[in-house]
Amino acid sequence: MFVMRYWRTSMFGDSLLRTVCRSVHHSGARQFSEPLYQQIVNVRNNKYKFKGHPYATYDSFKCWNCQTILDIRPCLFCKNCSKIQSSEDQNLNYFELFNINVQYDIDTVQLTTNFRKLQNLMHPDRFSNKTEEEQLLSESFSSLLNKSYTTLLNPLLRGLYMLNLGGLSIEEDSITMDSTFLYEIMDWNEKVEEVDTKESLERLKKDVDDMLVVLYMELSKAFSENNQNQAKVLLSKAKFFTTLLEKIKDKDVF
Amino acid sequence: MFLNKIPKCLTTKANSVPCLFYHKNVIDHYENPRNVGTLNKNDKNVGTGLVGAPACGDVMKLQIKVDDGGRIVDAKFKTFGCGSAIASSSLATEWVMGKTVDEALSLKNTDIAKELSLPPVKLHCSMLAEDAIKAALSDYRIKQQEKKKSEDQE
Repeated sequence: MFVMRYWRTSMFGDSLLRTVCRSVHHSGARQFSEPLYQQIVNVRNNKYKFKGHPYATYDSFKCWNCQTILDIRPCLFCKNCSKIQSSEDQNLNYFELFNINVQYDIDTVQLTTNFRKLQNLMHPDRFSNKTEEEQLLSESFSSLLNKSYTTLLNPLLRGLYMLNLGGLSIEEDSITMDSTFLYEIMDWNEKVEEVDTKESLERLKKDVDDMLVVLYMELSKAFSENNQNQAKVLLSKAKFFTTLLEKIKDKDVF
Repeated sequence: MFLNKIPKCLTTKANSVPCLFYHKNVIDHYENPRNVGTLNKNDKNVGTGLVGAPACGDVMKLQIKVDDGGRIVDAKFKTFGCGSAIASSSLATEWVMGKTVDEALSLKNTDIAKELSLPPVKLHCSMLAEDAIKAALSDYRIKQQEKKKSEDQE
């Protein structure tokens, strides 16, 4: 038991925590100069914007167990009592959670490595002999990790998530697509419907994949130029092609 | 493995609509869609409406043929989407047939949703059908105006 806990804190302390700490301190997220009372008021009113990430609001929170103020994001364990912390209290966005920059082009290898490290620390299996409260926290943290990992790994979902961070979504108002594109999609769908050999289906799938690759390249450009409206149009197009791809996968040709 | 004992039809992904979740009118339209097909979109008397829902990736094409008296004599649709979208457009073609252009314009998505008992998450499918009718009617109007203009010039 002791060995387990020691191992965990040491692993956490050694690799992950330090990188997280460094990145937060380097970005100069907060340097307090006001009296403590004012600080707390400001924190409560969300006055501090987290500078490292353009979309996130930065607020420190207290450890649920020992009430120590924790100001490292993302905070996994309390620095004082080493209890697991709640992911919900920290209001993390998915990029912050994995300690990567908010941008469309992400290093998926880095993402996967970070995901595995984090899941290794937070998985409910590690908390099976802890209190019920800690088990619940680990469950929600772990499920958040899974959810954000799948979102960030998928190019379409990642784009949609970034659009959401910017306050837009393709769901709320059905943007009118230009009719040439709709005719194009109609043609693609008809092709998929008419296909009768395995080879032609494979070819069709490859064509759609190629279209998607081009779209995601344009999407990355749109996000790097911070052109949200262009990103919205591109994501809608990508959604049509992704639906098409699912239809191709569901189709049985013998 | 224990999965071997389960019949294969249950483990493979079912392609049909899960009947449990849809109203019988939706199933009926989905399994026997009315008026599927295409009309000649270059015909002066044919209006074509093509709409898409970016949120779910559905596309819907609805065409109407109007006679000289302004009555819709034929309607065809082609939809690539979920069961509700197919049922909505099928029902829409059924309803506009025989109506005048103005009557068809007054068709509301709520009527479609009510007839098919669509759940709130599927309401956008009926909206898509309404948009498709509106788009087809406006396409027809534009064509008619162009026709009139060219006749006036002659």
